[in-house]
Amino acid sequence: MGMTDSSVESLISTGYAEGFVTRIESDTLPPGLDESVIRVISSRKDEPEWMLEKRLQAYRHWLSMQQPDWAAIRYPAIDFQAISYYSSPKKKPQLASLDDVDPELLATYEKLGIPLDEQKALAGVAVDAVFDSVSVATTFRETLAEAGVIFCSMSEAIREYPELVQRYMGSVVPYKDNYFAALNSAVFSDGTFVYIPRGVNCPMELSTYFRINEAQTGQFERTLIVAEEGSQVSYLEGCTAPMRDENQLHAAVVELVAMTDAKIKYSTVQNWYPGDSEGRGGIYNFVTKRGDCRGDRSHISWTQVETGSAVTWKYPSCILRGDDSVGEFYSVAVTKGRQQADTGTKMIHMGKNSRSTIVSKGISAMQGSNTYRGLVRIAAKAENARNHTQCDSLLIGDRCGAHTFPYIEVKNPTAQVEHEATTSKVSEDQLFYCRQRGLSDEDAVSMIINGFCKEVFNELPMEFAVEAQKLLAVSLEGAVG
Amino acid sequence: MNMHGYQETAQRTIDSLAHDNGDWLIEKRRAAMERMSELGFPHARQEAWRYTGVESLLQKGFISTPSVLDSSREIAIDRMLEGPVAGRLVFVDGIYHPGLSIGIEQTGFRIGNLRAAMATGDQSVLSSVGNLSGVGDHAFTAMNMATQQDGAVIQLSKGVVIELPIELLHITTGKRSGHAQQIRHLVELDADASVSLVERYLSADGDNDYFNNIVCEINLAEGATLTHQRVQQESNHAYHLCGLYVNLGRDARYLGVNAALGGAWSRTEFHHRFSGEGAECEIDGLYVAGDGQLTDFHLDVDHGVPRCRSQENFKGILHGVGRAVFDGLIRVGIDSQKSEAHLHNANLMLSTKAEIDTKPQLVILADDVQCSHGTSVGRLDEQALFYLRSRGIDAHQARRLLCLGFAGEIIDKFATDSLREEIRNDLEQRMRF
Repeated sequence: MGMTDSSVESLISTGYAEGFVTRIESDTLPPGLDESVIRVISSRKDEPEWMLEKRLQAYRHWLSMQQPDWAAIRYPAIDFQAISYYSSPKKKPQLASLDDVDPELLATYEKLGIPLDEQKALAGVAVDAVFDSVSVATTFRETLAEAGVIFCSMSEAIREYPELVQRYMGSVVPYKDNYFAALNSAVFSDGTFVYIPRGVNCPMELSTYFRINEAQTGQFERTLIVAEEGSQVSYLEGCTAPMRDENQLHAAVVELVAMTDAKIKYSTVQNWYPGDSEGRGGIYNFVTKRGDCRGDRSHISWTQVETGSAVTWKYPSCILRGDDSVGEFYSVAVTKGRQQADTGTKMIHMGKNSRSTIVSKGISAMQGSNTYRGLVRIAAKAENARNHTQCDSLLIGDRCGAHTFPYIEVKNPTAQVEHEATTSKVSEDQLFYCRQRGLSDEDAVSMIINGFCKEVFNELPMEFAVEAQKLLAVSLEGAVG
Repeated sequence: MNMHGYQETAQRTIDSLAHDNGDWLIEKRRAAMERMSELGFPHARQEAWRYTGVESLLQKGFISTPSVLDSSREIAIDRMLEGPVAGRLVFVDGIYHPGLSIGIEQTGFRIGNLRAAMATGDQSVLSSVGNLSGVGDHAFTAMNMATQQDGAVIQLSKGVVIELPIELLHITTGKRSGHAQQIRHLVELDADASVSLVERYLSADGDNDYFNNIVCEINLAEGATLTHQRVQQESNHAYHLCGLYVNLGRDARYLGVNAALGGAWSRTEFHHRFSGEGAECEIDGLYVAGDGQLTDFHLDVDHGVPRCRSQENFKGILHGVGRAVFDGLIRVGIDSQKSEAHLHNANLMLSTKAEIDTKPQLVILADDVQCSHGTSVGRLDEQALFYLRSRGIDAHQARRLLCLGFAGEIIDKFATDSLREEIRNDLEQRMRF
């Protein structure tokens, strides 16, 4: 590349723009995990007996499990006894209006460029902001209630809609699924519950902004979205986290259930703290996300922009059970510094004529390591199933890594499955062309990378596309320009 | 048979060989036998063996006793390659058959067999055994090292260029049912040497069940070129495991084309290492799996140095209750700039009972590279079938033509005319066209 070393150096040293800590008093449990901690979490949240039983069942199973080691990620062993499993802001405001919310908290969102009140008016986006573990602000509840949509925190749902939670929670990601899902099932702090009744097209985009803010507090979010027959919903999830020294564990579970003719679109912008230039202190992001297309013609779409976290381990998946069901996965993953990402998807085709599309774009810079790991399985009964997978990797710098591990298992001859992957650096020809037309090195690289990711950005809802581009620009500023 | 049983058998083999051949390889054999239990037999929890079980192979309990050459037996000479050859090494039941072979030993050029070298303690051969493969990474390769019986030795000195192909023919007779054959080939090409090798595995009758455990070490020095045509036509009850270890020096070239048609269970592992800049390797392959067959191809191409190029193209046809596994790993090391690697795998599924598990992999640690892989699984194109039928070709013929067309891209890579013919005929016979 034609850039001088010094300009690259100065860009690389750009710090983590979102790194600041908000001082809010928290009610935090001391570090450690045993059955009593789970009982405390459950009682603090006024949970019914059945929920406690579920947690304990998951915890007992978790004790018998081993941490997975197959992913292409390296990190020091996690001491699960050194983590505090519950934290909630002490001043718990009533949720009647934004005025009741702690002003300091609101200011945090201002700094992040997520003004709740403005967003409310501007985009018609309802925001359920999760500050650490407890929901403290919920907007547009009434509009949604009119449509019959339930949009609330998980703890509220457990109290208010126990029959729905009991029916669906753990039905897509059972507690035995994997090590981190079991841990989450035992200690999940809070999360979001969305229920779209039959035939309802959710009147607005639903959005949750996460923010980890309590030093040494694990964040164990639990999200459940149920879309009944013929309903539609688009859900946005985004997050930023302040700079700190201790590694933080984030083990979320997201479950989506789409019934016949239902459509769920789930978009994520993930920008947890990635650690310093030596890789110290970043977030460990071990997430289990899975969608179940239970009916005919149901449709689940995952879109993710992953720019943060020290370690990402995440495979948003679709089980295409219904005939003519559709699964989609669009992903941009950026790793720079010492960041490591092992991410991808699973498309399990069981229904006839089920279709899936996978578009994965990985960008590795500096010493970043980026892995695509995906599974496409066509079961014997899935007649005329169709999959197309495209995963491309872009390398910036001679010390980064990009790996591609697709698994394709086909048991039906009528299936049509295609997988393509490429790995290369930003082409000299393209750079030369841009420079020749008067663009600076930085603008040229930025433009080429934006073009590289365009297919994925196009899938993001308007509100998010802007933030995603901004995030990518910030991330790349640190790496190339 | 369990590990203990295999080790005991190996021990007996080593003892009897020591008695026959002196001590030339005994240390390597003993060390490998020790390592067998440490390495263990592969199992489904190992990533490289995820889709390929070895249970049936172990249940069969094939015994690797040293086979004795039955020279009185007439072997089907008509299976030999048509046309002139530079040399021919025929192995009957894993043992070199001098009566059917054309060996050559002259300055700068040797076509011989391993057993002869072991008998005389020829260090120019024996010192190379295991240099590239080591004891391998599972018990079967270690077993081969411990109990290897015979195999080809091909050595070319600097600048020796041989135009005519060298034929390596393996025939297993009914006598070896229930037995394992431990075969090891050694190919060494010094700088700028060049040769073409035709390697084939046949069975004298179709119901023969045996286990061919093969390790092939190929060392290509600076500027050397090897053209390697390999055809596996074992019996439909045979087990066939082959590990190829290829080292490519600066500007060396390896051009390999493979066809796997037979075997109840067959697996070929390619371990290609680039050790000098500017080297090139091209590996093509065709696999066909029908009722009761499992065919597995594993590639591990390691770009450990800059400016090397590799290209892999594998095609598979699955019919009946056939299963195939393809695993294509390309690794580009941390300083291997200007590497170029492209891998392609296409699969044609013709029946509802067939299964394909394919896994191309890229592990890239350098940035200035051009790497890609592509995989596809599909059935015959309905439109193409319709087109042919509209031209008066019946459905059966149309399918046959399309399958042969699909396989043709690989078959045409075989440079030897009679081999292309043979593969086409065998393919048609196995697919009952």
